[in-house]
Amino acid sequence: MSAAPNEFESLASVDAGSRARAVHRRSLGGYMRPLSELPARSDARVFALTVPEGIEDPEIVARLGELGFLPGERVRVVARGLFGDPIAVRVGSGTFALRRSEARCIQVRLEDEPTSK
Amino acid sequence: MNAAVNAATASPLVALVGNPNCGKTALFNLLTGSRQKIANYAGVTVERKEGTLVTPRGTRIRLLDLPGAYSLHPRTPDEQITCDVVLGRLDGESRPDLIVSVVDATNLRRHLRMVMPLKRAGHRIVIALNMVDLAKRQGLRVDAASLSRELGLPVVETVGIQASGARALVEFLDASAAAEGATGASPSASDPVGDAAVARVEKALGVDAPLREADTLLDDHAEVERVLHVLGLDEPPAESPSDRIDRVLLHPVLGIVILAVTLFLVFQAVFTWATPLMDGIEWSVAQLADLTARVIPEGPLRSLVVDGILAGAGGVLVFLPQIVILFAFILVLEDSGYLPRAAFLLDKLMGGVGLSGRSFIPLLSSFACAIPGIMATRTIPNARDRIVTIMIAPLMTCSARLPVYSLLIAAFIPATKVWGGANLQGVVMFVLYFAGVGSAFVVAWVMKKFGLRGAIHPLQMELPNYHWPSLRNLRIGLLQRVEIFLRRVGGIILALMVILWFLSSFPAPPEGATGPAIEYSFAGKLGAMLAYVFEPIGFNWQISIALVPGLAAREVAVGALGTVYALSSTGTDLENQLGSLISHGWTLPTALALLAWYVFAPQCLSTLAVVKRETNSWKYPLIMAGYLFALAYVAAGATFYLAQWLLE
Repeated sequence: MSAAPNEFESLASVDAGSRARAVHRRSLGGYMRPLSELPARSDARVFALTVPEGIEDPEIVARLGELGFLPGERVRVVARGLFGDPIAVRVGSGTFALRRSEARCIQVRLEDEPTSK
Repeated sequence: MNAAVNAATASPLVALVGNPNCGKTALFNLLTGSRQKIANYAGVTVERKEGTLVTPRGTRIRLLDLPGAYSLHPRTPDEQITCDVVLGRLDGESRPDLIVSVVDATNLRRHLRMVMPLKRAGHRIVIALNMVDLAKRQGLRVDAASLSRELGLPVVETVGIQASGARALVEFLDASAAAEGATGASPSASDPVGDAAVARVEKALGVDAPLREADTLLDDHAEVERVLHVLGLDEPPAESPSDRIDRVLLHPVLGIVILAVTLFLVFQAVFTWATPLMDGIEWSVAQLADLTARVIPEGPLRSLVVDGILAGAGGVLVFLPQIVILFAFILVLEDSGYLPRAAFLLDKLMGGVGLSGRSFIPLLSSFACAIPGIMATRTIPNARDRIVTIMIAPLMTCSARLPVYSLLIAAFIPATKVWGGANLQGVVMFVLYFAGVGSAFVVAWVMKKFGLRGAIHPLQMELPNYHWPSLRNLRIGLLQRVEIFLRRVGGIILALMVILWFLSSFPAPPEGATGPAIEYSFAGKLGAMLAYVFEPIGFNWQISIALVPGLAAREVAVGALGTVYALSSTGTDLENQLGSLISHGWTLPTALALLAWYVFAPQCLSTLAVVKRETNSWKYPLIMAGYLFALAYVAAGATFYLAQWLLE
């Protein structure tokens, strides 16, 4: 129980650090939502990593950062599984399969309105 | 100059480090002439592999190939190995003198980030800018000189899948080895890593401080962005060709249909395409047996060669074409990047029984053989998931079971066309494979339900960009499979057949005996004893005998049946193939019961040994042997009685 708040703080610091870095990249338009709620094939940028309720192991969130889900990175949902789970997400030049529960840890901001392809 | 003694005798240690699927093993193979498995998905290499490279100037270098890692903060058993080697924490292994940091030129944003902690750990580093050919084809111009200047590290361009693709790296290793020779010792040799140094390194990396780790990660990311900005590689396009393919192959409905059809066609092909080749091998073995019978006079020697070796080992050899065709498909699927997509499509299904898509590739590898499959579970982060995956791996139908299935299906199932052209034999084969998978799901569900329940299972699985399968890779992979199979036939299978022949031929029958000689031999007596156990589920004594050597290698059961029947037959039916012998000798319920038995087939000693090693306890191999035996016995018995009842 003693380690948990400490680790939560560490991830909150990702959030805080992200603001400073993301702001110089571009002014943040659009609105924030978890990556799990991002419609397919619309572009968004990572805003912050958070530990939502139900995620017991913050390591999962730390690993998401290592995979490239870092503030300012462009993400796009490439595909969704049969019942919306898992989702395939392009980040940078790579694609990762994530559970929706994992994708909920990634807060994103829509870049534009969903593309109508 | 006495430091030079040590430096000269110990070859420099060079380690390949990088993200998963960046081509470390392909480079390792090029540099050392090894034939380690490579494929287009993350987590092919799960062990530390060592090879030797002699540079053109004659320096011997010890080269380490390590599992891919996303950071030096390990989350899976395979990443732990990499981390331990890099930090010099592995027992009996010094810290590498040089790190070849392999980066995928098509994905520098992620791969370059791995270079930063290596730099902080104080290593000498050379960057291998791999897959430059692919990057060029995608129109990415990566200027190696600028990259080197910005990172402050030497950079060489490599192409892991071209024969000459590692030339620049070899030249670099040669030149740096020569430079070390001139100065007397490598920088790391003059700075031995003691415990204090390791602690310092860990502190610098933030190994035990998640707070610092998060900050470090962001700093590394900022540094990579700066470098890429200087190189004019700011952001990749929003959509890649792989995304367009994924729109179809990862489609929630269409994708699953494509996957099912693909697997179905594979089994059709295994049956249909292999037949002419198998007939050819069968004919050759029969000719050889004929010839032997003419050259060697009647007696024990002729019996050993004809009944023991040719009927036994030759009977297994027949299945080579099927195994080659099956592996050709598996290799193409592996190399294209499709496999993790299949895992993606099945993740929800596997989630239903409490497993994650991460278990898919280990399970798929188990179709070749459960041993590499069980090794591949090292890529599963969750310990409980890993154990469950290990426990159900033997339920995936390994290629050693293919000969058994194939023999029985060919003998008992007519090759009629069903559903507008599908071969019924192929359909039955598909059903058997499916029965294995289905029962694995049930077992996993039961295990998760009772005891091995886990909380949340991260998926976080890389879906690599699609590639055209490399013909070179396919050729090497197939030749390897052929070699492995022939070695098994010529080695353990041949040896077991000779032993079985002796046990089945001696002691000779007493004077005035009426039945076939084998009934009076050791094997015959053993079979009669085992028949008490197996008769209730429909197996005769010949099958009971054949199950015993099958403990060492499953396909031996086929060879053993060949020998046992060759010795039981009284007359001149030498050319009589095993298939037609058993199709006359067994009832259909017996054959179906044996097929059901082999879906579970608990007997494979090497699998149990690997489970013992990977779980480091006797508990799991014993549970595994027990539950598989029980399932096999019940399934075979149920099949036998059900078939009897239906056919009456």
